[in-house]
Amino acid sequence: MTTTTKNKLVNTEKLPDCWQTLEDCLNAGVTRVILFGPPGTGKTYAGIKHGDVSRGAHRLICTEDMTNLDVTGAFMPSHDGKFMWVAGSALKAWHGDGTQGARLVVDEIDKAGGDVFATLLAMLDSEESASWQNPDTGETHTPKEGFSAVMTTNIEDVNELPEALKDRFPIAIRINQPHPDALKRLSHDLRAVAIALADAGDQRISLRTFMEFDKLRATLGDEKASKYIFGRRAEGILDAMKINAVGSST
Amino acid sequence: MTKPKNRETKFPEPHFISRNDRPVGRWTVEECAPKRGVAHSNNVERRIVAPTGNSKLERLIRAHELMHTKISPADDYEKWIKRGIASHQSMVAVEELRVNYGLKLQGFDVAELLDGNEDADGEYVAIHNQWDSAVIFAVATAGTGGAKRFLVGVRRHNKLWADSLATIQKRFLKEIKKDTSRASNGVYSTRVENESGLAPRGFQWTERMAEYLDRLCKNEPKPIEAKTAKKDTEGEADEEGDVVSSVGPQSESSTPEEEVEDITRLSPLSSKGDNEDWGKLIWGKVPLTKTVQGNLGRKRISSNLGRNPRRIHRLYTDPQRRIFDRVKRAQGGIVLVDGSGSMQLTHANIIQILESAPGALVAIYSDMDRGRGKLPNIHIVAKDGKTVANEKGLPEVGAGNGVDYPALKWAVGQRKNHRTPLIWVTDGGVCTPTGGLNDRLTMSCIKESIDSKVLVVEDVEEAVNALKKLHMRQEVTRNWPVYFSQLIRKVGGVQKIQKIQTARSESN
Repeated sequence: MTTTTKNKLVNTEKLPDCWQTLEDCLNAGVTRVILFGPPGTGKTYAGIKHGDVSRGAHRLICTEDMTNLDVTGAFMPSHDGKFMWVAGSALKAWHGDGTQGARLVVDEIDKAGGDVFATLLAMLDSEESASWQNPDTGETHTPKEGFSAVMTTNIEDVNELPEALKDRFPIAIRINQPHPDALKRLSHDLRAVAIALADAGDQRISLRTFMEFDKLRATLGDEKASKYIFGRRAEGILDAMKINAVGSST
Repeated sequence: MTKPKNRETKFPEPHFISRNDRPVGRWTVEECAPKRGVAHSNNVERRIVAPTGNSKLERLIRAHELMHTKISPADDYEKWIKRGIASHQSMVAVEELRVNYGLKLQGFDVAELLDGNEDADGEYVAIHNQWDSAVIFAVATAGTGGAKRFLVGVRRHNKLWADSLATIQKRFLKEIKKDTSRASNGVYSTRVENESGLAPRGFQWTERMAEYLDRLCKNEPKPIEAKTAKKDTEGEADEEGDVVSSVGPQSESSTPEEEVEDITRLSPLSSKGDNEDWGKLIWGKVPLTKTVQGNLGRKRISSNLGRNPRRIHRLYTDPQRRIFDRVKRAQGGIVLVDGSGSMQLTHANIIQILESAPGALVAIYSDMDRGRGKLPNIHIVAKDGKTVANEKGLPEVGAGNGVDYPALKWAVGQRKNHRTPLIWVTDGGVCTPTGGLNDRLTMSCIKESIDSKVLVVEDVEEAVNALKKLHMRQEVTRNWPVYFSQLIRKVGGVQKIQKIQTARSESN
């Protein structure tokens, strides 16, 4: 699909509220957004692809064990036996293409350890305050104009995030359903169901699971595919699918 | 709830259900015992309560509740009830049948759907002589395993009832089988109905059959001897006909045919044009420049008090010497005229009506642009003693009907009190702006006429006679137009409609 066609699609089809809010914010030039909500709805994908990402997007996946190496960078051994400085994702995003900043996508921000979290706070500060000094060269780095950041997390309540982080990201959007473009990869009969189950609490089934089910049922049929993918929920799901088919032609 | 260890719980999956009339959303699923009346679903709050065990019955109950989440009304349920076509409890019962039949269509074995107490329920209603409860239960369980057991229970105490209930169950199952077998049937459609704006469209089937069920509930089968005896004792009342008093509420007498009907004679209303609905009233104005004398229902009567002795002859003829006049206050009056083409009204006819109803509020309606909503479809042609100057002042009429029921409702609302006479001049060929004519819409007009004591007359001649009689404060007999009387006969007579309406208003 060409960009023009895609744009046309986006323009002509009504986006769900959450995705429309994101589009509106990014189009208006907002540079800091938190996307939260159930997993498997395309939050990271949106961070990497949506808005102005012409200078690239750099991704960070936070875990408790990660270090600042991934954020700012570190000395790494090179092939000639020496050590050289390798920049981290945040620094790369600050610099972008050398003249303008790029996008930094931080996944699972709530899972970052204390050190990393503190560094991230510094790197994500406002353009006027944010700076970082390279320990090797002593050079001071600041984010270039156009730098933007999207954070994603699976928490249900954005208030669970630390105050300092929320302050840096005034806009938080709960993404509660898959993006329509992603849904188009599913068979028609599963689309509405995938939307409903993306945000179904304990009963949640992700878009990825549906895509696998869709693929599998094409060769194995509904019953087997359901059994393999959904396990003990298969019987209930098959019954529900049968019931959902009633009156489908009208 | 104490659960056996290692018992595998199986929850219903309402998130897999999608509908055309409402967006998807998050459901709450709760657990309950596998008993009748305990499991339920709430489509508005998106909550489903169902058993979670492994038995066939529990699986069927889960499926039953899921089918409700798929096809039963959600936000519009109140509106369906307020339409007043069928009672709430009948709609609930027929919806059970629609749900169970839908399960059967999708391959579920609904013969397994029973809780084991149905025969006791059957015995209870038969012993306590609760015919309406018996019919409701029989229809709600029709086609399931519970239905047979229920009839066994009823048969132990009343064979006649059991046979009748079996006939009713067969009739309902036959109707749904017939209606779902059509290629483009909408029995399970979840779309929003274009005309009425109500959803889901498939619930129209439930509403139509519930109206039939309402009638069956008021039609307890009697042994032939009892029926004959009853007819003999009530024969005198039957002869009275359908009389409308000129000033008071019309008499509650019935048409003769309804006393001899039996269950097999009743039938559901036709489903033809089920998706049609009335148009909206668009008011047009015509200048009312001519003042007319008199007032409908107004009368001068003699009196022994007064200033001007206008009846001096009574000085010798009247023992009470009532030589003065007293003007009795008018009741007012409303005449609603169906100006559609089928009425074949001429301007002269309309003028004739206007002349016969001096001082009355006279309105005429006819949809002139097939519901496009650009031309007015109702005009007031006489009000407060003024009317149009001449024929040229009359609005253009003579096309479709389109707004019979809304116009009738409007006319009813114009009454100053319940004794204000209201005459509706119509041939009974009521239809929607697109020309759709169906039993449901016709019934709504009939019910409104009965409820609001509207005098329905078929043609101008009859209207003029009725108006003259009203003017003289004489009784007027209501003769239903042919279209209406056919349908009234089909549904069991005026008295049956009145009984159902009364029962419904009491339950509300």
